Amino acid sequence: MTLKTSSRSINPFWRMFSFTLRKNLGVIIVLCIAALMYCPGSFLSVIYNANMRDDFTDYTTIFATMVAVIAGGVAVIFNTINFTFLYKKNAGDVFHAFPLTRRELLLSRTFAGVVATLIPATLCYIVFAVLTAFNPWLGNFALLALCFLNTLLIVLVCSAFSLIFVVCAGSMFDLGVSLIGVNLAIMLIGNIFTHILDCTLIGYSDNYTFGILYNLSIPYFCYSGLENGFDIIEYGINSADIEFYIRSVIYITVFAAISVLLYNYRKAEKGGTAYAYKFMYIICSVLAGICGGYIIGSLFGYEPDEIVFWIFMTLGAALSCTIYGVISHRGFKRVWRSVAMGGIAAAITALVAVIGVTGAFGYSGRVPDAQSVEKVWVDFWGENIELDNPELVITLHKSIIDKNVAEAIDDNWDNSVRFEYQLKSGKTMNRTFYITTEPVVQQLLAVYTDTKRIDKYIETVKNDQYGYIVLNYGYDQINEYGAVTLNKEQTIEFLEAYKKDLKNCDKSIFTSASLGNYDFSGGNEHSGEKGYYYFSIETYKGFTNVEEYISNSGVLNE
Amino acid sequence: MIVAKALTKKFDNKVALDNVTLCISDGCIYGLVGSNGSGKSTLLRLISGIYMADGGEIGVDGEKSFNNPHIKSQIAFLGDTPYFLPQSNLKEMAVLYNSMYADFDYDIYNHLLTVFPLDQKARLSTFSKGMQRQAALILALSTNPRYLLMDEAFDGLDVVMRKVLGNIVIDGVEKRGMTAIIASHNLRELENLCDHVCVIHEGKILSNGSLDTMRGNIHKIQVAFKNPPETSVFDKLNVMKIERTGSLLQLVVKGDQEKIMQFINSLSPLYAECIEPTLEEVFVYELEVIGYDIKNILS
Repeated sequence: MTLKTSSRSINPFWRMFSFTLRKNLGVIIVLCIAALMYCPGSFLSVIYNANMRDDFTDYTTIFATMVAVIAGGVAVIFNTINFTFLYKKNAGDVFHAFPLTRRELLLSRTFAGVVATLIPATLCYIVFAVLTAFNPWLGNFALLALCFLNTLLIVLVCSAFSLIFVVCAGSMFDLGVSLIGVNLAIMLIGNIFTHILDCTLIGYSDNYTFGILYNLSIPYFCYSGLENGFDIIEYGINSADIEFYIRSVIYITVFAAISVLLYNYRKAEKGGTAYAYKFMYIICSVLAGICGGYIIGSLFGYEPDEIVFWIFMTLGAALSCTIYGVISHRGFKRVWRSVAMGGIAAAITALVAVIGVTGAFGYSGRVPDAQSVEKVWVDFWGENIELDNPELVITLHKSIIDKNVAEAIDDNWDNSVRFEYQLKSGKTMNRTFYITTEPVVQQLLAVYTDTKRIDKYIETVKNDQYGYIVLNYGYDQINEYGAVTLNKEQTIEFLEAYKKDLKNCDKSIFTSASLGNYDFSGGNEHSGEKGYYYFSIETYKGFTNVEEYISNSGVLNE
Repeated sequence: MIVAKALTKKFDNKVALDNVTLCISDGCIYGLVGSNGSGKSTLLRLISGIYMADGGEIGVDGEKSFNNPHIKSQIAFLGDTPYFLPQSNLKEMAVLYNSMYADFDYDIYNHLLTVFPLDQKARLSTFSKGMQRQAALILALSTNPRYLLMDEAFDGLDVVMRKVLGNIVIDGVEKRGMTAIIASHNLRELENLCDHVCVIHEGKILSNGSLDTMRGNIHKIQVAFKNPPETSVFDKLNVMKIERTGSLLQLVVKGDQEKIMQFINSLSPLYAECIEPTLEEVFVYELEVIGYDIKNILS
């Protein structure tokens, strides 16, 4: 052996990064071939066969969605490939003995995975951009550039998020179980909690399901952020888009920091065990308990307001946790701990129900200030009314709360009143109440008979540049339906008649069935949403002016 | 220099190393002896910065080795089961080690390829256990380490290769001042290689010291008498063990060889001879005195 007197200066991070990238070269080449099969592959048939082309299809968004979804998945797969050494003791010995810090080791190999993911994705984008240059109908470059940025963010978010699971797992099997299981369970739990709140929380609007998922599920966050971003070029950036970008950057930073922190303290000897960190096992177990418990509870008692539901929910949670514990521990070791996890899962589910029953920290009783409301929509058992005057709505909303006439859920869906406030802050506030009509009938009538909305409809029709208004009408009771085209004058007369009826109507409309529904749509339907308008009205017994107008003018017979 | 102070390592509730304190000076060949699960591999992994200590501290040249690239660049750790990247060959592994270790030396690598004749383009997964160990040795030694840590180093090697490996280690120590720490459950493997030996059992150090000192202090004496005296005659000596076979007595005595032989000769034996004990015998006698059966420890 020769005596070594000097050392080379090397940067271990870049060395490990470049080595890992080289090691992944085979997979990258395969992915590039697959990418080229998709683009230009699948688009060439559309380009060279005009019959297959659909003028209403936005090919850029289809392309971007496909690439982003696959790239996010591939980033996760690269993370699992590049960190298999964590799950083999002898492999872990070699990698952990290398002269680089844990942070350098983790980030260099993650970064290599991200770059390996982006190479085929970028290739796809370049080819699509070339295709677009020769076939402008495929899409536009600004949207393409934006989609590429979003794809980059999604890849980074997915990679950083999966890294937490990679570090916490002790074996490939448990990595797969935790990564797939937790993400699926979160999607399921978003819906479970929504259903529980729907059944227990007065005023709860199931519109929040997607809000819960957006906040809890990283894959859903990525997907919805990408979808929302498609509108930026046409309609400009909105607060939801800004939130997506800010949250993406925060997620990447926080997930990467958590992963580095966990990896710094990860015990190398945990390679080959189920989990390096117990908390990941606990999370997986509890999530399995909630999902399993809910499913079993629902089999025996559908609604969470039934005691039988909670009995079987608890038993199901314990059973699910035990099954998960048996799989995770590869046997019946610590089975009582698993049963206890089931108890925790049932307790968390019950806590959500308790939060719902007790009004969710004032959620049920909250009514916005009239000054803070920009617009408000009220939905009376299916009829949607937009009002500029929030006071009437707020009075109704307050009456429902003060008179305690609402229930969390009612099988009679006709008794629902839904408020949707567009606040000046840019936020929205939704509430859905299942009410007993009688105590608040005056307030309901005040909202319903407010004719300002009809004036607004009339104003819209007056400003219609095209003058052709399509009227779809339906009489459910006699099973008669049809569609006619009205001119502006006919439509305005129809609405004036309706306005008179509205002023004269009484509370019987809330207990009687609708006689007819009339859907008006105007503007140029194919010029985009900006020129298009739509509104709907319903008539009841005693709406004589409308009946007379229809009968005298014969508009429906034209 | 490697210094461990009250070093403790636990695997869940099992204590693998219990309050271990030791000092390994530079330029020595240090043998770690113990049965399976005694804690010797754990100690090596703690020294090489793979494991985090749960208590106490381990320092290499005064610095902690965990998460310390500077120290780890000077250590080559050879585990009991060699690991190579999937589908890789020795040449690719050398590229990886060259990327990671600033002192990786292709001259050493090429030299070792002549000593251990391996096909560097063949997939390592097709190699036999012994060949894989040789490959791992080539990689470890090519990093030009100041500290070479080998776990069950001779496992899978044939007699010739064991000898070659021993020579390489001695060569590294003599020429470059390398420190070698060799863990084994077989004392005989270490006998002619190590200058220090530490016996470790159930996470605790039972015996630790220079081989010369240990050997020099313990003597195995065979003595024959026409009329064998009572064994109590030898109470004046520090007798560790005494065995009688007819008129032949075998004594294991601790102390100065000259004084012991003077005393034995004063008893007018027919025959008296002092034999150098094997390393295993030294430990058998040392540990028996403190209540351990080395055969159980090393079984």
